[in-house]
Amino acid sequence: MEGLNMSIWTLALLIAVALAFDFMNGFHDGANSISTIVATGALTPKQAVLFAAFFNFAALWVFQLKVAATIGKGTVDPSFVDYYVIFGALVGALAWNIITWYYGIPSSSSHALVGGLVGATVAKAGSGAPIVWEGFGKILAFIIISPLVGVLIGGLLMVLVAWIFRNKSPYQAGKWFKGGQLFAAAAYSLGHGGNDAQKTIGIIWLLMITAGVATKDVATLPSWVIYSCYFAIAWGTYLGGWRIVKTMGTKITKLNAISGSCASMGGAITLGLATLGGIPVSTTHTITGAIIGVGAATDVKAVRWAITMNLLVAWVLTIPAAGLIAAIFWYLGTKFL
Amino acid sequence: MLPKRAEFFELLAAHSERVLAGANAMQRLINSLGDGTQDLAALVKEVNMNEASADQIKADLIEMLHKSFVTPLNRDQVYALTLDIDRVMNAVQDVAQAVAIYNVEQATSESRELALRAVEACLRLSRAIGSLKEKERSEETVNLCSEIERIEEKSDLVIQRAIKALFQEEGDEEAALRAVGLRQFYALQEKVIRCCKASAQMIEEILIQNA
Amino acid sequence: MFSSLMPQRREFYELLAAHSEKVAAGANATLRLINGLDDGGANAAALVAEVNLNEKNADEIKAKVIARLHQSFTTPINRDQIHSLISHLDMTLNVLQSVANAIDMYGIKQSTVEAREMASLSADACMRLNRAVAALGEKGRGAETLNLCKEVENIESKADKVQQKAIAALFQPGANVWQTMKMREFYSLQESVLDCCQDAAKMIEEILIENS
Repeated sequence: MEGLNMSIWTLALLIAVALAFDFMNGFHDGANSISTIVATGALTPKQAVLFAAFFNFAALWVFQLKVAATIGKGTVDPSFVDYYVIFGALVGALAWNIITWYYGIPSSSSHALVGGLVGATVAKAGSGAPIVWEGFGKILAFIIISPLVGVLIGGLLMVLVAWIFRNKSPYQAGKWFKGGQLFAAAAYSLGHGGNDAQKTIGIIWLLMITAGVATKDVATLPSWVIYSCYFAIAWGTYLGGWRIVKTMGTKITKLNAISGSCASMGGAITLGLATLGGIPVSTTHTITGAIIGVGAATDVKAVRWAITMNLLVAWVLTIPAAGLIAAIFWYLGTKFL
Repeated sequence: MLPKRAEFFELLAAHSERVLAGANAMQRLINSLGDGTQDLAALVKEVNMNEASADQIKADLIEMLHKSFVTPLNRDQVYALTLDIDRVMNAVQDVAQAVAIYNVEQATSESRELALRAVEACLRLSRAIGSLKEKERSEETVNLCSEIERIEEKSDLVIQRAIKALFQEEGDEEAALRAVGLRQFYALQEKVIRCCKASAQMIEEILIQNA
Repeated sequence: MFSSLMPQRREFYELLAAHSEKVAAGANATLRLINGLDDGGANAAALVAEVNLNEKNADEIKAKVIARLHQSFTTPINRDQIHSLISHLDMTLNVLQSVANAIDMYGIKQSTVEAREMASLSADACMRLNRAVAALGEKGRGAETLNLCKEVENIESKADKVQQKAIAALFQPGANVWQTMKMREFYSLQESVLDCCQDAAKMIEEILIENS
């Protein structure tokens, strides 16, 4: 059993890769929460990334580790996993993230991770792979559910706001939203930190179970793992925020302070609910859904459906593509590591 | 690359100030026609100088529009407004030059009144653009724009009066020639105010779009 | 999806329709004014007053639309499109007013066949504009509205030809210089009415295309 032979150095290396993945996640997705506050000029890009990074980290004190548990023991059977599988999963997810980041496609790092994990597991075990269908099925279902909930909440919030401010011009109404927009972005960054950092925590947890240094009991998970995961995502957000701002804030639909707040708040509520329920969802899917919902309420023509379709295609591809890359790296890992 | 908000508005304001200065010189030109107290050629030159300077500002503005990633107002709207203001400037220049072209030796009282109205409209235009950068002052801006529209309505009546006087008595060939010339001259004077009105409507549109 | 749940603000359609009705009424009064000149123009002053009144009423409606634009969170069509359309309609009526006032301004005592034809073409165009604007808020009537706009554009090109004929007649050898000058100006004002109608029609087309 390779797992038992895992040296402290291999373990450290894989944890470093996991943290790198986490960092990439922030680098990749952190911009979602701030795209609207930058687009509306509420904060400068620099202030905005700092703001988002802070709330990413602050999620540490808000959410329990339910999402980490789903990833760590609810997607594939931990007793089957070895460090080649984790290596393949992480590198596969990382590679896919870099590819989509390079092309400016806001795809989901969460699904890349899950896809990588399942892909590497299937590569090792063949067709009888020990996938925990309860957890994996839940993740698959929420690929569809989470953006739809985002659309629904984002759209309904927009409708609500439009009725409240029906006799004010958008600019006059916007004055009320200066603070609201920041509040919504903060909530969204909390949701992002909570849901996404926990996915890496889950992976490291899985790794530690495999290495025999932790068990399925949360209490055995060292707190430095939790802190460093939250720190890595916050740091990533801080450094990478600006790149995707353009796609999210301007390409899908034109957002102003008000619609931006509704979109962020719609995303935040959806993410918060998912995180409380222990369901790893894509933060990207969620915010995109909320933006579309808001766009559909204000002006259907404002939603650039062609770009939305591009995103959808990238999402559908994410799990298989990351899985495939993960399988290749699992194979290379068994040969050369 | 990022918004240079202040610079945009500064250029727009500078542009409209040139227009106002040009309109001012044009008014002095018309008022001093026939009294021999002023150097008319110098006044025409003053108008032309303002026009040249306005052209330069317009070119800078358009270049900035092309280079900037984010503009404080909608890009098309800034562009449209710049062109509208430029049309006012050109119309002012046309009036100044028409004095010589149509051999206008004496200004009628209507001509003087129209020149005054043109300056009033240009003054409000430049103030409206000055207040455009602060959204808090949008009510003031809207008021200035509707004042410009009122001025345009008033000058319509002046023109009607002027033209009526021109065509009332069907005189000899010389009278006909004078009527044709002055008719064109009035039309050019009217155009200045029309262009101010078009600019005012563009500003109104910008305010509404950003409301 | 959610857009049907938003505040609808259909009053914008109503105000636009009311404004275009004033334009049509103004065009109609101008037509009667020009046609009546040959009967001695007994009603001329009253008809000019009628045009002026319509213009004033339309101005008030326009002011109301602009004020409403500043007091509405949502608008049924884009803000700038509403503003452009009402401005074009208003411009049409302003020019109609100039035509009506030009009769006294130029001391025109008799109309010509072409002036009457131009006046009736502009009344036609304004009537179609009115119908197009009134149908703007109804989803099912896009094709009909688009058709009306096309008709307005056809009327405009017809008027172009009438104007050419009219001007050619003015510049025949032996023509009275004063008469020629006055009518030349008058015709170009009449032509401007149709140009404005065309601008308004194009704006309506743009709105229809963007919202279809």
